[in-house]
Amino acid sequence: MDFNYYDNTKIKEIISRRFLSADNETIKLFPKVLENHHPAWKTIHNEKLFAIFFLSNEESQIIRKIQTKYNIPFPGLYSMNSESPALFHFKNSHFTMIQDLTVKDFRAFSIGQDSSIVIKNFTVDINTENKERIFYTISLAYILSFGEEITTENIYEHLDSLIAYSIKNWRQTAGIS
Amino acid sequence: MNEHQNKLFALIESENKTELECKAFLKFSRDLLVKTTPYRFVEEKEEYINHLGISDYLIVCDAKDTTGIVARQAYIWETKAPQCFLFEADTANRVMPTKDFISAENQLLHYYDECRESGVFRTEFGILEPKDIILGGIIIGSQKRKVKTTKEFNYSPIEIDKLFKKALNLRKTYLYGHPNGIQVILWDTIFEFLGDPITPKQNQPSTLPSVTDILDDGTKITK
Repeated sequence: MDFNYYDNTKIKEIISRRFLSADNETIKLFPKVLENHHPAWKTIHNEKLFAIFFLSNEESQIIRKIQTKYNIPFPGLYSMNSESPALFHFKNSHFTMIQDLTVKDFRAFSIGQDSSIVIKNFTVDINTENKERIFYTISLAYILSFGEEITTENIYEHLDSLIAYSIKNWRQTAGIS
Repeated sequence: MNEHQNKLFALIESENKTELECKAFLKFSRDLLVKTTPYRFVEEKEEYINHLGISDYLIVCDAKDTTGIVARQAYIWETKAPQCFLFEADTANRVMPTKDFISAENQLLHYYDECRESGVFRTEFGILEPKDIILGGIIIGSQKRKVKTTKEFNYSPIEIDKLFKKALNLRKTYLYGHPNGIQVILWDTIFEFLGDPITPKQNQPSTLPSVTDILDDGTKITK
């Protein structure tokens, strides 16, 4: 596996084709975080997972503080051990979209191989043993795990398809078939 | 599974060839079949008759082209039944495209070329430039029908996956001009694409992992 697969130019190109090329009426169907013509994103990319997060300014500030304190940006969001306890388990699961959910005091996802997930308006709320509260919301994220099918060679094709899937669902939700 | 998925699943699993019935579900997957989010989908045709035969699936839309100008575009797709295999055994370590797959490639290229050259086609759909006729790809087969084995070469499921991936990647890399050339999509992908979003009710299990376990998820950010 080529671990140098990260390619910011390809990501920008996909975002441009899928999000920025849309007309204003279609953009209204997208989450608010994409209404800006220059949406900011944060990525996580390693040998097991590629994920791209679209966060509002406020969400980004909260995530930065959490990362500084806990050394990870999204505690409680996922484990790459598919056996870990979690609300949702994914393995060989393509095109799943979960939206408008708050997960409280529980890990949201355990992610095995070959899965592609969209989360929208997703909140994690954890009360720690030190009586601290970790609370953050993710406006939109695309999460893909590598395996036999999703590889570093085709990760951007899968990201492109996953974004297309989310747009299909937003059209559908708005009653536009 | 939603209603569309139920129906398509049955068609994919059927022993009879179900290409025509499956095509009816492509209109719900059209975002997958275009490269850019269009301003609007103008028209879809489950078949379009031209001089060389019947082109299988046509999507006409208004979308920004590479120069940022909104243009009328047409995507040409070729479909084969989910019952068709993509590859068949050739040697112990190699598979070759089936007649169905080769036929789909050949038809797609001929229809695409004819549509690009045809003033009649462009006029009919209001397309100004041949560059706005876009090569889509082929929708064929299923996960279960990636490689047809023989008595002589009865590959294991792991070998089938490996040989399929190798053969398809070679075509993508050296023949199709990956990643912008011909796309090859299995009907299972269309099935998965039809899935609805999940908006779950807050209903969590009562056995919680410890907070330490929740936080110890190994997430590292590298950018």
